[in-house]
Amino acid sequence: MRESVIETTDLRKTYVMGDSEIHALDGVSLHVERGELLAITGPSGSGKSTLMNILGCLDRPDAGDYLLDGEDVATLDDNRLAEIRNRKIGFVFQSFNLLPRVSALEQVELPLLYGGGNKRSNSAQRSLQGTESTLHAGNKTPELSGAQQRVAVARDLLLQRGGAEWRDRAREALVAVGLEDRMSHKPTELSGGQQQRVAIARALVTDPAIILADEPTGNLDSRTSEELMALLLRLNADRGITVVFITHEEEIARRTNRIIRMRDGRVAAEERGEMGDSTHSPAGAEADRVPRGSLSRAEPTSDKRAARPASRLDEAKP
Amino acid sequence: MNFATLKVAISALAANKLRTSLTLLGMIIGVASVTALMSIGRGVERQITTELQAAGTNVLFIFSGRPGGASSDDPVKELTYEDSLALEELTWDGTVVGVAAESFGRSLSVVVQGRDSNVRVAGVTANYLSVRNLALAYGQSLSPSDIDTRASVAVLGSKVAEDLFPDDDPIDQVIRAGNLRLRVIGVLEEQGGSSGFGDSSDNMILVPITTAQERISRWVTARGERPVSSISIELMDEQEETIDAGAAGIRQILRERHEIPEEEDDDFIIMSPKDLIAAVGAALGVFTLFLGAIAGISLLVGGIGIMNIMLVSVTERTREIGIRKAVGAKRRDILIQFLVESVAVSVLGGLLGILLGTLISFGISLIPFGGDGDRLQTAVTLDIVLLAVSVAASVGIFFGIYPANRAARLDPIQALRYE
Ligand SMILES: Nc1ncnc2c1ncn2[C@@H]1O[C@H](COP(=O)(O)OP(=O)(O)OP(=O)(O)O)[C@@H](O)[C@H]1O
Ligand SMILES: [Mg+2]
Repeated sequence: MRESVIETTDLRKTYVMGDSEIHALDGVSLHVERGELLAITGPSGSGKSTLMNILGCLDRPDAGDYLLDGEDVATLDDNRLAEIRNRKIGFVFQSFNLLPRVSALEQVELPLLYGGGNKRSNSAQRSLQGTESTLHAGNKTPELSGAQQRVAVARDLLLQRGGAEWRDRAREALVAVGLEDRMSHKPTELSGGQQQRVAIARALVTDPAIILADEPTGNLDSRTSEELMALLLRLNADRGITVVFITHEEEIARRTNRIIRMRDGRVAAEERGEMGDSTHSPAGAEADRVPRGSLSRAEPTSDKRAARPASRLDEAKP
Repeated sequence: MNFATLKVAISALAANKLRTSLTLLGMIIGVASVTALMSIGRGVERQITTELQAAGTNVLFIFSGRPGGASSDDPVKELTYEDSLALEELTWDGTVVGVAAESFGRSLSVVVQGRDSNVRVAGVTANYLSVRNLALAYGQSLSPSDIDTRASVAVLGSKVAEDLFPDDDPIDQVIRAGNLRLRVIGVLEEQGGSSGFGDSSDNMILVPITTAQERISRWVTARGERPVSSISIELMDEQEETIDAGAAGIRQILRERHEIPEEEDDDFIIMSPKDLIAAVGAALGVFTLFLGAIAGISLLVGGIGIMNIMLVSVTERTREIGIRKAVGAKRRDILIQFLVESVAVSVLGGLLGILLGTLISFGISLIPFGGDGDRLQTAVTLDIVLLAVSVAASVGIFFGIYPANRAARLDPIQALRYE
């Protein structure tokens, strides 16, 4: 049994518009395992974005439970949610959502600025968080909260937070998405595909547990979409990052472990993707079976470019 | 807050230069007017206190009158030359160094070489100059023998000397004042302004007190004593105890001489310049603050300008706020980001405003006013600068907190959807 990252039970979200109620989410129970690659599809208005925003801790459900990485998110206050967004989640939007007038490098540094720079790697973070949650789990005496503080301080010292380190990590992330020669470019000086790569680098830079992408290729032409999807698949395969994305393209949806089909705020169907069940084979191994066909359909040059970030990823790996 | 926050704020301000400059201008005008007006107040304050101090702080002045303010149906006994002679007794133990009296001055027409002008002539004792801390520019002072012999000699105030003898050396010249013919024996150094105790000596002619009482005003009291306008007492130092001891001695002697019953108030007023300086200083301090407060109204307008522009900025950057929140910015981060921005504007405006205010204040100090070309020495003191900077920063925080809070409270989803 693999560890689950996302576990929701009967999530509900209702919007009241005048007299009518819109059940954007009408009882969604979802279970995502660590390292899984999951696609969410469904007709327009079926509640995909609503679900995604709740999974990304940008929004709260009206009812239902949500355990993220073992933590009950429904009970958390705004500050803690911000921390979770910062450390555990990388969000990629359809409309890129980059800051205007800011260079790619600084875009990617942004999450580090808000605290994500406190940790060097996800595993280190997790082990330390283990320590912290053990302390949390004990009881809430002042001595223990003092101990928690000491752990936090020690972490800061050990992991050397600081501008230079942030810069290096941002560079690393940009190299990983193949933008090493576009670091000082501002959004207006980048193509749509490049902007979305910056957004992915920004999602990646804090070494999150999950990357959530709401129609990441929705604003891109099909060739660029191919490249971006390949990049996301590689991140999932090589880094073991859980990736959940929304797509309208059936073809892309199938290149995953699992497909969730939504309708009217419910999960209407669940299907296994071409990469099969992540439980039975390591995601990394599956990644080699990324349908080459779909990639080779793109121009040979773009195929190379699509492959490049992956090779960078390999280099970046210790 | 850290360096990165400051950088973000500055680049946000730099992105909209015209708007930022106009907002800055509002702050600059406000702080400049506070600085300039307060520097005027502080200048007046300094000028008056220096003049008071020039009169000496180890001096007590005695006037006739009731300490609580006299009413017309409550006549008081005049201070007299004889009173001042009696007070000489206090010099025995060394607490009091000198006693000087000044007769009631009278404005007389003074004729020199056919030119006619009106000058106040007052009789004084020989030690008047030393007690009142007046210095002789040249010539001689009045001597005790001049007093004894009721000599027809005069010491001129600096301006009087200048007016009467613009080209000549006044010493040994003879002037006609009323029906007196006086030989000039000395000229005082310029004292400047008004000492706060009657006219400035610059505009006076001093003659022996006996001469004045004999030849200018022969008025005597019912007891046959010769009235004086004030008696000045020089003390050995300006210690609190010395002043108290001096005042007690004076009261005892004068009450006895004026035959004041135990239960009645004094019929004279003892004033020490120290008290006066303190009282005047406090009043002028309030005056300065009042000027500052009036100018503060323009600062208020500047603050409203900041708030207005910050609100616009928050609305314009709603999406940016959404993005920042999506990647993990907490309320506090957003709040601080916008506060830093508004405080940066207000403090920068404050610093530039102090610069402009100092220039204005300097300009004012160059403008002559009044007939005799006096200039007000305005003073931009450190406390004004500190006050201006801290008020500017507070304006930034006060008017920035609402927009910043509005930004901080934005819902991430709604902010991201904002077009
Ligand atoms: N803020 C809101 N106020 C009112 N109704 C809303 C709001 N947000 C979403 N809805 C409604 O909730 C439903 C689900 O919306 P959602 O954005 O999740 O759809 P979606 O599946 O992402 O659609 P698409 O594929 O077009 O992006 C829709 O009917 C929408 O009208
Ligand atoms: Mg959607």
